[in-house]
Amino acid sequence: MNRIEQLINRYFHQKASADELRELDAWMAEASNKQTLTDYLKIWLWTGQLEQKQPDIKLEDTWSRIQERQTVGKARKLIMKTFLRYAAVIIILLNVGWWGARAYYVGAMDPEGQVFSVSANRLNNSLVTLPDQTLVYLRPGTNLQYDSRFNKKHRQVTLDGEAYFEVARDEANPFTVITSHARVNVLGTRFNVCARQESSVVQTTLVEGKVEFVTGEGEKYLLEPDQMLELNSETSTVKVTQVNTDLYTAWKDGKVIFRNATLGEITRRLEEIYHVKFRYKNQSLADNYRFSGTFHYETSIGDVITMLKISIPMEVKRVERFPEPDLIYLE
Amino acid sequence: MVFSQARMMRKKAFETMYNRHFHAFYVVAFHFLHRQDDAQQVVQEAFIKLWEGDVNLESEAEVKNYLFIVVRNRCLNLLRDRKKKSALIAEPDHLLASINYRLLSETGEDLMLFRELSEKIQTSISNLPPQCREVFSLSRFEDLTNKEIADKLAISVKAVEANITRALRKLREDLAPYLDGEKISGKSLLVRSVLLSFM
Repeated sequence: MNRIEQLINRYFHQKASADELRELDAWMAEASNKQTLTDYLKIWLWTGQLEQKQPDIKLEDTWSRIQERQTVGKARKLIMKTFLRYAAVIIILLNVGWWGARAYYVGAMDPEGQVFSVSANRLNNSLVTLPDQTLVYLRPGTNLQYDSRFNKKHRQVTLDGEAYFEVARDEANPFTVITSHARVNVLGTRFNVCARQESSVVQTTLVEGKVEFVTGEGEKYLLEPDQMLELNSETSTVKVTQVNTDLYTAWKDGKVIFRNATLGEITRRLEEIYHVKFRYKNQSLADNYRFSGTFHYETSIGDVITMLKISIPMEVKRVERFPEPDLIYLE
Repeated sequence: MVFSQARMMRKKAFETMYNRHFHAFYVVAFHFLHRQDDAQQVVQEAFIKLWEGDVNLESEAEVKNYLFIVVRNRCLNLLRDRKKKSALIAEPDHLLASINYRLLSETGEDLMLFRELSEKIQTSISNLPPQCREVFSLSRFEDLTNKEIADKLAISVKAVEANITRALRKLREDLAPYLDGEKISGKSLLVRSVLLSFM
């Protein structure tokens, strides 16, 4: 056993003195010597790993730390969400208050009445209570308008986007939703209207009660619960179908439901919800694979993809581009 | 329901990897950090990151690669801190931290190759002369100190050290083809570039 082997031995056993360490340090300055030491180090560690032993920290301990972190993360998210919700309500109230005060002072000389406009922000659903206690859930990017005469003789709102209404019952005072291509007359009821100005399709889904749908040309349709009416204003065609209304109203509870949707449809929805963009290496993947499932807005995009991967055989590669949306390649 | 099933499957894969690899990574972390609590914590945190990261837990190679990168970087950070703290006050600690830092920063993931080589290593050990093999096994597998081995086998500490050195020398000869990290592991270059981006 030569001197340097003795040093290495003592170093491995953590028994080397300062002098010995200094000697080793000087010796390994030369490349070939360092290679020798690295060789011995590998053998030392490989043989140390050979014996299959129990984890040095119990799995349960690590697992409870993981769960702790997840709940802390969730709680933080929840606090933030609650804060944002209150902030949104306050902003809406201030907004309504300002317009209200203005309407009060200006109203006298303005026979047309003052227009109130509520816009949902781009990220979250907004909840608005109208003066008659009607609840309206607004989807991100939706705009809802009504004027100061609301609730006097009639209840009339103008919608651009998608909203779910829970209309307060008042038979003497009909409730009407006006969109760019049609009108929906209501008694007391729950229903969803999707009418984006840039799209020629108006969709109304009735959950409960009764509504009357009036097209721009004046044709009238009476809807029953669980029916969906679709008007295509370009071709002037109307289609009424029996549907599962959950599919069309789940968004108000923060749920996303897919029923036999193609992967292409799904990823388009995911792009609206998450800060990501999908890229297909082969378009047939987007068109041919179908999927059914429900998840919540709070589910992370990673978990959603894990879920999709169970039923759809595909390769996923995620490229982070913070602060730009991440790119997710599918093939 | 589909979602909770996915989570269950992922947890199952995680458990398998945890039981299979925790100790092996602990051995490495302990060698460089010399402190049980630090080494355990480093490996535990690596596994927590593994769960939270975007890693395919079914892929042995991906998991080992990820764990190695995290364990290695945490160890290097701790050693760097120790080097700074001990620079003026504790010379042996400083020297040790600096030697370990240098060795670890220039060694790649082949520190974790034992699983691929385990048969070869075992054959090589079983071919050692009997006393040499016994001393080496007690040292590496039973974690006995040289003094304990000497007492147990009624030989001198010097003889224990000599046997261990002999074993290491013999293993190095036998395993020579696998010791050059660049040659055996084609991924090595990739790993290195990944490591750099982590620094």
